[in-house]
Amino acid sequence: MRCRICGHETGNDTDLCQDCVERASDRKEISRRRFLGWGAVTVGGIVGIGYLGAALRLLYPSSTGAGKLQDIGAVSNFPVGQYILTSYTGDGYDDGVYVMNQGGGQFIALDFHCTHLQCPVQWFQSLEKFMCPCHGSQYNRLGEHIAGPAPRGLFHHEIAVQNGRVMLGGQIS
Amino acid sequence: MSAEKKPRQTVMDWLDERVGIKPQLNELLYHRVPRAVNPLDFLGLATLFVFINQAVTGTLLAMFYQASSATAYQSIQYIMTKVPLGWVIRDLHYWGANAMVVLVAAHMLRGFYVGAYKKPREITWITGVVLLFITILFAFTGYLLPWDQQSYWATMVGTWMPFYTPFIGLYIAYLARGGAYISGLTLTRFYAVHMLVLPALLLVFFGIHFAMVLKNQMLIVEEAERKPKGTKGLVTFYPYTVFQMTMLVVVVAAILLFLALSFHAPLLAPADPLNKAHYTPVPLWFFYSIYQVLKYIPPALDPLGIIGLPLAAVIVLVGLPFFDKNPHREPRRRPFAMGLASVIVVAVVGLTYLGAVQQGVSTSGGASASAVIAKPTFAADIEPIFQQHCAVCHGPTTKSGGLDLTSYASIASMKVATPTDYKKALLWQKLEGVAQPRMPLGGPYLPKSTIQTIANWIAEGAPDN
Repeated sequence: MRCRICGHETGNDTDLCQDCVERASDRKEISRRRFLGWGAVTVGGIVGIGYLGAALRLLYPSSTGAGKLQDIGAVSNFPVGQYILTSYTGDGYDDGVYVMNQGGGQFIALDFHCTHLQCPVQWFQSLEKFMCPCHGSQYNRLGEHIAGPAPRGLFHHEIAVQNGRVMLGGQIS
Repeated sequence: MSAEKKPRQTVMDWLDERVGIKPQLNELLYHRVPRAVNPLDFLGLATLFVFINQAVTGTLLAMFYQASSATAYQSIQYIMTKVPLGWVIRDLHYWGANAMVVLVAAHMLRGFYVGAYKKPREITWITGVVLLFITILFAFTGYLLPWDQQSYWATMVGTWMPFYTPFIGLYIAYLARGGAYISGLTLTRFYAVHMLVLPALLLVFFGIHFAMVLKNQMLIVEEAERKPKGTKGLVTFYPYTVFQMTMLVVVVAAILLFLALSFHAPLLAPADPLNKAHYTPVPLWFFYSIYQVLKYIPPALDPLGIIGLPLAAVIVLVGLPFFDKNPHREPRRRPFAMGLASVIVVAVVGLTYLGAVQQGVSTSGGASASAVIAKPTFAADIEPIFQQHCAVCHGPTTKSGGLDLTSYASIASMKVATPTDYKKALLWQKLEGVAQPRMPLGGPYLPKSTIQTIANWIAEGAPDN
């Protein structure tokens, strides 16, 4: 059979001779076949990544940091030096928070989930400790880790006093 | 067309002309199988049946269930008390969920034992491993839906486990929860995954799994097909094996129904994010083994136990067909694989059992509140009480106040169980509240009868017997 490009005898029953095939591959030309194949994969991949990205953006909570401040009562409701368990609710939050008036307008707000596996810790005034019922982690008065398997201290919530009202926010650290 | 043809035949011919799978169907129905089959070779079928039970009962439950934190609990109560047979459907779904986990695990163990993961069945095995994890995710997401204390706090603990993944841990935990903590957003998220994502994934992987079983045949079938036609003990798949399979399905269904009618799915108090009643979280039973490991390893190794162990399990299970180069299938010619697997199975089952006992699931331990034991022994009566009620704070790693109540040496050296006049012993005083703070700290306190048993032990001189 003759080559359809150069017209020489190919020596077999294909219509492209070995020389022309090599010349074409030297020029690094992309065949139509390859182009269409890779094109389909690329376009399909872009569409897929688009859906995946949108899904992750949609599902990732936007409200895990400092959230809206919520009024949890007048400063006078919080006796100095005593922890009071209150709740912070909202977008992605429904959460127990220990709040204490440290005096002089200073407040501390500690999340009541143990940082080990998130069991609810309990404040024991007589021991001046937070203790976890699951694996025995303990935290001091300021929520710092002092015993047990927890990897860190209790998480803090944003807290502020505005016009005599105690305002509690989302988790900050 | 011949006039004698039966209507059924006509329909079959009409179908075959269009679908054209008659040869394959004949091949499937009339292939040779051994007459005597080990029921363990049908565990896959049993699992499939239980899954169908889950799909049917789950669909029925979904028609009454309301997935919101304000209404979920009440809708479960409504299903249990107002909907005709609603409680049976819920119990069937609950027991089916537990049975799925057990059956998938048993099915895999059988596959391992007979060497069914070896060439050419690697893909069947790997899709089976994927189906195991899908089953666990089904159980985990379904567990939250009743929105009671147990499900709320178990999910709080479970969704925190990814936190221990390096770098991206917190992001995964937040993504799973849809927020910083468990909230109504977690509930809708879990419901969507439970009802839409997981069923779709399960069908895809089960499709591949089943297609590979059909293509490569089961091991017993392969062995039977190699024998000449008419060999004694061989029968055709239809109707012999099909009948056996039907019998198995009846047995599984009967067991499920028995469990559903006898032991009801729990529904505790509604989820309380402030946990005012001081409920102590308990993990799902198939996490007991991990939970138990955490008690024995130093806290610094926790990430290894929480992330490392499950990850190792995934790698070992998926990679098994490739790691195991031994060409033999007979268990006695695979001593290493069988030995290693036995150790792992014994460890997981043992830890799960220990976890169950310590979570107070079993009431058969010495801690039972019913009777005072006159002459208690430390090993059989006293130590189980300490394990169940005290070991969280007074254990080998925590040693609150320097006291480890799980070690007799520690009890003796701290002198908490002396003198024999038990009312003067610190242990009794703490349990009764004579010495403050009363133990167990924050309650619930031990029943009178349990305290008396401990008092009797102290009066005997607190022996190490």
